[in-house]
Amino acid sequence: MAAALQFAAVAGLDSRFDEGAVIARALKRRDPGALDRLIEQYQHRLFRYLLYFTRDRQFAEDIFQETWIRVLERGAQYDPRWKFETWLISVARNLAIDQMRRRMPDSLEDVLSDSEGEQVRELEDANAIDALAQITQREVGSQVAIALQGLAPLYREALVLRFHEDMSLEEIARTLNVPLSTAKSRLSRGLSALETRLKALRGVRR
Amino acid sequence: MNGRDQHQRARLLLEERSFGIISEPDAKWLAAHLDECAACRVVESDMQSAIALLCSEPVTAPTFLVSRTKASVRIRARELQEHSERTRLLVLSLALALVFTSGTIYGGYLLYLSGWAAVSGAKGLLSAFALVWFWVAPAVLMVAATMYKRDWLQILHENNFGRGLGND
Repeated sequence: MAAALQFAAVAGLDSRFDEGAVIARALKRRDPGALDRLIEQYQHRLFRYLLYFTRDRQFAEDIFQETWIRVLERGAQYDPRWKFETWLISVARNLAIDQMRRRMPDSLEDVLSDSEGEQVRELEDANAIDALAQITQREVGSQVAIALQGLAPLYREALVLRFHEDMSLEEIARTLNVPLSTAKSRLSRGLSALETRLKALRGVRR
Repeated sequence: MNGRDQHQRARLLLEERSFGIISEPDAKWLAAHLDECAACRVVESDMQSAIALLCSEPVTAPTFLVSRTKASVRIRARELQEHSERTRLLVLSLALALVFTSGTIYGGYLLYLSGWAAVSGAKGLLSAFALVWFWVAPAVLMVAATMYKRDWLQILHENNFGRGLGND
């Protein structure tokens, strides 16, 4: 299994499909060794996505663990025609939304509303600690944390999928389960909002 | 197209370029426009610096979380495997029970047809014993199979599971 995965990667077999098929077979067998390797390979990407989307470190950790259990249980549903990462993140996203729905059903509407012309409002929780801001400020002391802090979760996740995970627009749309036009619109708005915030931040610092 | 429209188009195309969906003619138009328009070059620079800043921000999964997750996945995998073994065993037992029960009913029916009530002595006892055995056999087989499987799973767990059951 490991050899097959490495072979697919090193030999550069065209092949998202080949690699996907190897992963799909391992998932179907519920092979714990293969799962270990997948966790190693996708740990940072998945955690980063969850942290951007949820803004709550503890919550992101819970969902991270739950996601891999779900991958083990429902691995047979993975379609190797798509990148494993796309499926993984959509599993994580659905779990996060389910949990949010249980925790704070009213606020969830704010998180998920994205119809054209409707302003997406930010989740406001005075008691919640913005873990993303804490981590990024601590680790890189960057402006990103502050700029991202006020950005709607739907925009943050679109931005992270495109620019961190290098997903295509089609993959983003599939992951988020939205039409291409909506994915594009979220990216466009998110990028504009990020630029505006960064500009404002630089203006304040000068 | 007036100047304002051109700037708006340039902004849209800059976004499309960063999303990886710009067409070749549009990319050419954008390059030509950027050569001429200083204002749009500023927009391009702002956009690129925002993206670069976003990508520079490293978030990594904590080591303890990864270890904990791997452990949970292994435990769950074992539970699922045991559950699947039990299910297979149950199906096998039910199939056996069905075969034996059908045999018993059929045998009883044949005995009835051949005038079982008139049969006496050793032959009658033998028939009764056979009838009881038909009913008891599935249960005996099920218990034996369960004990055998449990031992097998236990041995497997103790000797092999920790060294990578299921690894190629």
